[in-house]
Amino acid sequence: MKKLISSLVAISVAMFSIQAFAHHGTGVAYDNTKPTVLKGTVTEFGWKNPHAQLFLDVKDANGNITKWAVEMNSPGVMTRQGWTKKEFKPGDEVQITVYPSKAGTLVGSCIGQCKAIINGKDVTAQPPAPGEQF
Amino acid sequence: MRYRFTASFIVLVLVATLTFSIVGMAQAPQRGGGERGAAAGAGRGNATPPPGPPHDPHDLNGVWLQRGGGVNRYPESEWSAQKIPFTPAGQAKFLANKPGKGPRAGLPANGNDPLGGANVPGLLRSLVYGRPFQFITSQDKVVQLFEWFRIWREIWTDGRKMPDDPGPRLYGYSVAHWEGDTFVVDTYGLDPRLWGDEWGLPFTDNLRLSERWHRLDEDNLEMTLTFTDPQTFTKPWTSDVKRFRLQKKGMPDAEMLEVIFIPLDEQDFNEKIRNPSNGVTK
Repeated sequence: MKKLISSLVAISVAMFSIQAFAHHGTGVAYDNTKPTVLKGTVTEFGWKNPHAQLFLDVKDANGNITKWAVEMNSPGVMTRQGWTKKEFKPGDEVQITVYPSKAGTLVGSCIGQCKAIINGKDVTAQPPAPGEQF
Repeated sequence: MRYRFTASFIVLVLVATLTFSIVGMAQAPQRGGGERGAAAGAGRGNATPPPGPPHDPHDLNGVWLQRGGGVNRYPESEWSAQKIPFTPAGQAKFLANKPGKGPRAGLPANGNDPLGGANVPGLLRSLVYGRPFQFITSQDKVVQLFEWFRIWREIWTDGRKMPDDPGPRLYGYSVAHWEGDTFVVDTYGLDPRLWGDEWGLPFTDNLRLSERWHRLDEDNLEMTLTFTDPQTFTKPWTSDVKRFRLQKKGMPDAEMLEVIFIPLDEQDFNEKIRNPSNGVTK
């Protein structure tokens, strides 16, 4: 049974890592084994190349406000996923799944199929097309 | 016994899924379901392309998008599943290029990818990168429009010879002719300060490229690229087949967007996202 569980875990991690690597070349900066759900308030959204930027105020375990930055897809890819530059507005309550920086800084990535809920509405994007890079 | 069978079945399914992932996103299911997926996924293809309706192979016109292809398994270059036959000088230059992508990826903030400063990608990266491009044919040339950086190249088809010294040009000087149903494009004069792919493939200003484009049918286009550069490679070598799918009206990629990196944005991105995520203060 232990061997089975070990195999399943190893395979699952490998699957995840490979898929994550495939989705983002600079994935080397982020820990793709630690999906982290952030709940916070939007302070700024930058619809800019090369990748869009989302900034959030997030309360930590002690109730203190921490300031997170999130790297997202390029505006072109986001457009084709159905997102717009008005997707996030200051004051929006957001829940977003990010992969945190390996450096331990308050930066995460939400690349490829970005999972997000804005003011209670699930706006999770579909993954970019096979072959399309971002 | 029943438990062991069930466990084995689960493992088998997971291994199959893993294999599926490695083979490439190209074989991932079409996007679908949900208002965004249904629209966004229309017309996207697989690595093994289904045949389309017959079409004049000499008509390359249309917007094309490269199909995914599992290049993450490639050892050194997005162009080839094989190791690249570098000369010692080519190998040294390859190692001096520090990419943020591919098997040699390091932290982008510590790398030297020209794109990190919002320089244009140049011809080779535009050809291998998965963004739409369009062929437009005129009397004496074929124009290739790239969405990425909104740049075009001219491919002369009026029978002119290649100039002796056309470079340096970021997108090269290209002349072409037909060999049967294959459109053969020769390019020379590329600026070697740029890279040959996202992973830091080097070349010199003596690089000569030979692209061979073949439209299989209405939907499908293929291309191989032969690199000849004695200072960088011990022998000419040819890329794997790159496959492209026609982006018909109504598909998300049929209409090319403005995708231009400018220093203003790049600097902002590097300061607010790239460097902090890399743990680098610059």
